[in-house]
Amino acid sequence: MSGDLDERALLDQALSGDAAATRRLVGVLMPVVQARVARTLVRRRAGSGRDVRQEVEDLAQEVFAALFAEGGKVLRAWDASRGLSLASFCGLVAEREAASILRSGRRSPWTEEATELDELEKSLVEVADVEVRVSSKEQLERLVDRLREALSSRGLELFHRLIVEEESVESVCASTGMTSDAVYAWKSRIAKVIRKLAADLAASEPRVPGQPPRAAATVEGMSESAVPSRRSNEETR
Amino acid sequence: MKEDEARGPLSLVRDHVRGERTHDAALEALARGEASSPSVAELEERSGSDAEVAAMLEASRPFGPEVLDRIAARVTANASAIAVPSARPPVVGGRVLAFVRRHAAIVAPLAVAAAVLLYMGRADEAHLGLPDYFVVATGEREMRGADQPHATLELRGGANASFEIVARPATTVPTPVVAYLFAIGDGEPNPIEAKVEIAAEGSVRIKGSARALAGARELRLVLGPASDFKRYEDALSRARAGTSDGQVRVLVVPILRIPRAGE
Repeated sequence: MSGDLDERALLDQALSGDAAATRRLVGVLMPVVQARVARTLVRRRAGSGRDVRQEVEDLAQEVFAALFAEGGKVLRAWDASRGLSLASFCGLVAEREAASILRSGRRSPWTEEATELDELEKSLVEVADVEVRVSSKEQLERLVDRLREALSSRGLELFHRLIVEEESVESVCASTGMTSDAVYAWKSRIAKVIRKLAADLAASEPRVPGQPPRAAATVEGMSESAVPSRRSNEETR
Repeated sequence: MKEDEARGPLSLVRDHVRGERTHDAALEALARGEASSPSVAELEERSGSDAEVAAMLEASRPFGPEVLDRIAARVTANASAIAVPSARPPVVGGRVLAFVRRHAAIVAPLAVAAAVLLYMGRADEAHLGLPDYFVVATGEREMRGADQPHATLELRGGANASFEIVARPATTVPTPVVAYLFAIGDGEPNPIEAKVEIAAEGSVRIKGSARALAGARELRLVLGPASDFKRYEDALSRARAGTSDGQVRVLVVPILRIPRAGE
């Protein structure tokens, strides 16, 4: 696709119910959807015995169903001016959808309202002053899955721009029209939610007899002494 | 980067997500059919000794057109399965009727300002504009729509509180109505989650949760004739401008947050 305008026009046509435009849009988005689904499936697959290409097709179908669900709710949330291309935006959705289905078997989680950050933040106070560690690659994977499920489409975009890509707040403000206070608030809240989810996962891990609560194993070779005992909520600011 | 920060969950998440994406560009190129691109060739070379890479490559080889046809057909079929009433209720005379008196109301979740259509009137009435609307937010005063289209929504009880907004036309609407609801806060208007009912005479009732209004200072309900006001972008533009005309009504509902006792 040559640009945002073309993407926008095609998207509008598809969302208005134009079958030909829908078919074309599926063709445009399929590579990114397929690639994200394929990577997610292969990395998390535990020998299901099914044909991998059939599984990819099924998952891709679910991703497109989620994108177009409820009158195209998710697709309508895309806004080129916020900085992500339509393909990148749909790639985030594909990751989230595939991971969620593979983790829980739940289909089309995007048809349900994403957990609001406010809800997750309710119990953040009790997390703020305890050690939060991630004890294994599997736990980290679960943490990322749950984070993706917790964030709205806008939250996912901001997570990737602010946290993963480490884009500056000023740059995000410039492209989204959000105030710096609002962007800082998002950044801080996402960081808090990550800590909350990490704490929840750590608490749900089986405990080793004699080991104090939350004293999870060190992370991939990290020494126990390197783990900070306290961490500020303003980690990202 | 300080070591402490590097060991925190935030940094681990960031590194994990970055690591996940190592092969994304190559896999996407392969899925686009660009098997000869250098990044794909490099992965192909690695696949001999890396079973995971080999599996990713296999899973990313492009599907044939029949798969795309199948997926697009399912999407289209699901979209057309969204109920739109086929029978047209009779035209109602020029008076405002109470919601509960009409059985033709459609109840549907408003997902990102999804359009809810109500069919009434004749085809030759399809291009008529909308009358003035009265707006009533939960427990608040009623005010005239066109000249002073404000009613204040007082939010109490935190994120779990519900809210309701009812917009009633001064006269019966002679054309199908479409409704879009936006929250106005920082930046662009945000379409919000709510449940919308549209009654036969054109009244609109919206029920939602205060949770959906986080960060919003007001709501803008954009109403227009379904025949001429189909594009979401047009509704967004209207919400942004906040102005009404003979065809489209933008009803503004300021939000007032009332702290709970002791706060």
